[in-house]
Amino acid sequence: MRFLKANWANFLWVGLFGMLGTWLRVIVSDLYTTFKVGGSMEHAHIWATFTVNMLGAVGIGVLSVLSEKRDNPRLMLWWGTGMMGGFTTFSTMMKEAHDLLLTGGSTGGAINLGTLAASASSTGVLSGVFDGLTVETLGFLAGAFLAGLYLSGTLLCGLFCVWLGRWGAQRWLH
Amino acid sequence: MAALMFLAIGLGGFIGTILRYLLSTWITRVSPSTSFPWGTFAVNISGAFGFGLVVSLGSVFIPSFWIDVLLSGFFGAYTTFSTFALEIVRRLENRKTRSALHYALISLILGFTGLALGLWIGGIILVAVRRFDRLIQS
Repeated sequence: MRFLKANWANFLWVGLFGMLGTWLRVIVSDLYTTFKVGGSMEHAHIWATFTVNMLGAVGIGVLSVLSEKRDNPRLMLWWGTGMMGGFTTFSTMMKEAHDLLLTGGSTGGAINLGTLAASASSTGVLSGVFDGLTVETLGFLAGAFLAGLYLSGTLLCGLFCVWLGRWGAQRWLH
Repeated sequence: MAALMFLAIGLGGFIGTILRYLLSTWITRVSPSTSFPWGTFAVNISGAFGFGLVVSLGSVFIPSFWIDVLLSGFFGAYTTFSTFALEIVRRLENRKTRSALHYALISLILGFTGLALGLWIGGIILVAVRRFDRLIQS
């Protein structure tokens, strides 16, 4: 409780910056769904989350260097923990990965991919690779592949974005 | 988007961000190990679980206005990807590759499991409530 009392103004500021971050995320998401980036509403949501997470990763990379070099932990707390933390999201990403696993990102998407794989297997492009598997199994495999691709892709690109932000900030401040 | 909805989502983000900051600071303080970022980890996994719970219960129990406020606002801000990624990069820079890999994989796997668990438990609650309703009516 003593911690709370001593830092109440800080909490308020972190929350306010988090509110700004949340609003920015909603605006990006709205823009993407308005223009149907990726071809469908489901894919627009996924691309919006991906964009937001990558921008936030670059941002927090830059901020981590700035707050270290200027010896200003508040910079990291307000803009990093508050704004970038509110801007980026982990839970939405997990929900989207779950949707990809079940449906391939759109109604019937995974089954369509499964049908595609089955026909590729029977017509000779990928002759025999998927033989003996039902369209449903192939659809599930396609969904699992997409979900894994989304999560690992976000992770790897996110790490690169943080590194890029830190590298850029270090060069800029040098 | 309606102005009221926009405001309410911002308020959800305000509360979610403060709760994340409070919880992760407190958990980091009481956690035994300093090599694993328990604070962010706990927040992200619990947030994914709560997200799943709201998605499955929401369709019946929560008005759609509040579903959006909870999902986009509260849970979106409560969980974080940027801090998660920064913590991994810091470990990689300090040549703690194994620790970085552990944290990343465990977070992603348990985050997904948490969400699925939330969806599942929400579904069980829904079925139970429906049965209870029928029991009372008959």
